[in-house]
Amino acid sequence: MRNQPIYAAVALAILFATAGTSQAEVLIAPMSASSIPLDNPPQPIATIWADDIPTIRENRREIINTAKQLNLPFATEIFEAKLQSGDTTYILSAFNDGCWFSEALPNVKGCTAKLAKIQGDTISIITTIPDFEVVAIRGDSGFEGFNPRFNTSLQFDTETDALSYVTIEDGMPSEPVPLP
Amino acid sequence: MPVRTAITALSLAALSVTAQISTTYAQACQRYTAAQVAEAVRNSPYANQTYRNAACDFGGAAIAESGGSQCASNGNNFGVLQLTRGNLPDGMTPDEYMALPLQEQVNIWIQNTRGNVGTGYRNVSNALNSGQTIGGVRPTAGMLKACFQFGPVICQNNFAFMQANGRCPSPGDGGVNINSTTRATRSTANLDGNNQSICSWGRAIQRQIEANAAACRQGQRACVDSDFPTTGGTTVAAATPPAPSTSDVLVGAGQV
Repeated sequence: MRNQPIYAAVALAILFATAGTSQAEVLIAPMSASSIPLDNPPQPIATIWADDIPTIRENRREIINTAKQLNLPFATEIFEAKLQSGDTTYILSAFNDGCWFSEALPNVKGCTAKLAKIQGDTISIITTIPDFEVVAIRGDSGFEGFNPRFNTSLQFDTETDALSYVTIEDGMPSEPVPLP
Repeated sequence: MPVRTAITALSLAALSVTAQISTTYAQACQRYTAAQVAEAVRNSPYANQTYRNAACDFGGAAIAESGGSQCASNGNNFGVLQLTRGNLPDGMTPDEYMALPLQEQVNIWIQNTRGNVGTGYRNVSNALNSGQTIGGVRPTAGMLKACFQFGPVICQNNFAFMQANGRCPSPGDGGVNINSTTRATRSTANLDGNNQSICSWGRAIQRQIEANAAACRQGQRACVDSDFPTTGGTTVAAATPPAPSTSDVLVGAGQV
C-alpha cells in the first residue's frame, strides 16, 4: 500500500476563506511516502533529482551489498506532495537519504527537500531546502504512505500565490511555514 | 504408532525445535564489548575519517546506549548503536536489522547516520578538538556522542545554553524537555524525552569511553594511530587526550 502514490487520493482542496466576491482557496497536499525504483525513477522525480540520484543510487548499493542476505530492492523511499493550480503543478519532494535524525523525535527526519514547478513541458526547481522536517510514521519495513496524525503538507494559497508547509505531529498542526 | 512412541517422537521434535530457537536467539543476540564495536567502526568500508577517529568513543557510546547488545530496543531505537526506526533502510525490519552480524549492523548504522553532523555537532566538536570550553563547560567525547544521538536541535540548543549561561541545562534550570514542546516551540528544546542534556547523557557515555579506553586501544594500533593526529607522517605523541568526564559537572550560578 505504501508503495502506491496516494497523494492524489488524499490531496484536499479546502475552501478556506471568502473575501468580497472572490474566493480564496488554500490547496493542501500531504507528502506521501513511496518506494521508487532507482534504476528507472519515475518522472518528474528523475528530472528534479537528476543531480542527486547517482549518489542516492550509490548509497543504496552500499546498503544492499552490506545485507545481501535480505535481498533488498534497488529502491529508495521518497516523500512527495503534488498540487495543481491553474496550469502550474507544484511538487515538494525529499528522498529518505542522508537525513538527520534524533532519538528524541522518532517521527521526524531532517532531509534535503526540493520544491519544483511544472508548467507545460518545463520543470524548474524553485528552491532546495536543507534540513527540511519530514514528519512520517515508519512501519515495520518502510514508511507509511500517509498518516493523518503525522505528516507534512504542502499548501498553496490561490489568492496570494503563496506556498507554505505545515507539519502535523500527533494530530497537532503547526503554523504554516512560508516557502520561497 | 504406539502412543508412547508418538510422545517420544513429539518430545524429540520439540527438543529439536527448542534447540533451534535457542541457537537462533544466541546468534541473533550477541553482546559486544566497546572494543569490538570500535573495531567494527574502524573496519567499516563506509566509515569516513570522522567515524574512524571516534571509533573508540562510539564503542563507549554503544555500551551506554545498549549495553553492547545487538538486540537492544526501546521500540524506536535498535541494535548496538541504537539506530532510530526512521533511519532503517527501506525494506528492512527492526528484527532483520537486529539479527545482522555486528559488522553489518555497524555498516548500516554508518550508512544511515552520516546526516547527523549538524551545526551543533560541529560546534561541540570544534570546541573539543581545540581544547576550548563552551562558555566555561569543558566538552568531552561523550558529550559529542550524546550530541550525535540527540540530533541537531537538542545539540545546538545545549551548545547555545552553555555559551550563554556557563552551565548545562537541566530540569528546573533552563531545561526544556522536547516532549513538552510543540512544533512552534521545538527550537527551544534542550533535553530529550528522558530529561537528559548532552551533558548528563554525555557523562554516562564518557564513563563508558573511559572504562573501555584501555581495552579499546590495547592491541588496536589502528585505533591508537587514528586517535592521535599526525603531521607529515609523524605521530604526534603529545596529542590532546580525551577530556576528563568530571569537567562537565553542573555548577550552580552562585558557585561560579
